[in-house]
Amino acid sequence: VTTTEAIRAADVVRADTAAVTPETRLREALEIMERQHVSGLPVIEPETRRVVGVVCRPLAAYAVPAEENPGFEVEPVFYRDTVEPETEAPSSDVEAQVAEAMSPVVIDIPANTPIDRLARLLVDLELHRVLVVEDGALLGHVEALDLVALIADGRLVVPATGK
Amino acid sequence: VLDSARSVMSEDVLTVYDDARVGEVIDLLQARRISGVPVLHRKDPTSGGHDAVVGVVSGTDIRRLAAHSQPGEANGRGFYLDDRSGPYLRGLDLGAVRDVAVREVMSTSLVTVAADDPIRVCAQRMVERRVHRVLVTSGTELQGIVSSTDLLRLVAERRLQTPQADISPTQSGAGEEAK
Repeated sequence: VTTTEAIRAADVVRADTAAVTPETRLREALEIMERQHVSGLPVIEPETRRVVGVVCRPLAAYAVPAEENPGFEVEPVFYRDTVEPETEAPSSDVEAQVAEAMSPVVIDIPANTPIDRLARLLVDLELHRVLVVEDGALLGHVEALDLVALIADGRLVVPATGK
Repeated sequence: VLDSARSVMSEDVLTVYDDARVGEVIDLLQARRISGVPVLHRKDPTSGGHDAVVGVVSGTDIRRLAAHSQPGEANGRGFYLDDRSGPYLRGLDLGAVRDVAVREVMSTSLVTVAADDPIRVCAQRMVERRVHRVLVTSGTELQGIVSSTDLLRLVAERRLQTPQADISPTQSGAGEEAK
């Protein structure tokens, strides 16, 4: 097979995605973000691994109504950001639970999604990152550069043209 | 031909001059909802030639400047990573930095490809440097920008394919036969 359908999200997924639960203390979530150099984490139900939202820093940013900053915070930073995260403002109540600060926005795709449809989603929604689920449970995530790497590695090529 | 940076790059690139003020950049970034822009140095009017690309400046760089009232380590990541997310310019006293010259805050780190480079080279540059945008240049002249989105669009439109199967099937089957 020579179509992009031959490659699916499951083939490029990062399965080491750190996740927290709604009951996790924000302090711990922030520590994980710090350690892993990420700006957000998926929030899952502990038993089922079903994704219920994402928690991102700075935490305070998501307490502000979106209409006060139109355009910039439609999706939580988790799905967009690949930049070194900001240091959390000391004002946040880090002893609260993740459920208090998480965003309920879940953007995910099934593991068997062909990568052309995955790419379409990233392009249309201007995302850099999307969650991958299998049977409703979090499997991991894919970043835009993971698809770029397929081109870099020669796993996706420009079709030869008869000159 | 599809297989070159030229075939996928955006040629219509917003830029600023290195002697512009940060305030102009803030207005541009907010009005156009972009993460950053390449910085040009004006051509010498007596010698002709072209404006030279000398750096990039991003909302991240400006935020750092406003938060610490002196330029941070401008490494260009805000520009190359397309950091439009987050409240990056909110809650900061931007008035204090509007008069700073762009050259004081820009990053001089240039991640470039040539227009004739294959798209595979663009992809390799992005992966190696972990960036979402590369500048297409000819010498110091800026010709365009290729973003990760430009490459993803090729995937979304099914304009790329997996490599053709090797034309020597006997070789690929040999390992199995040996058992």
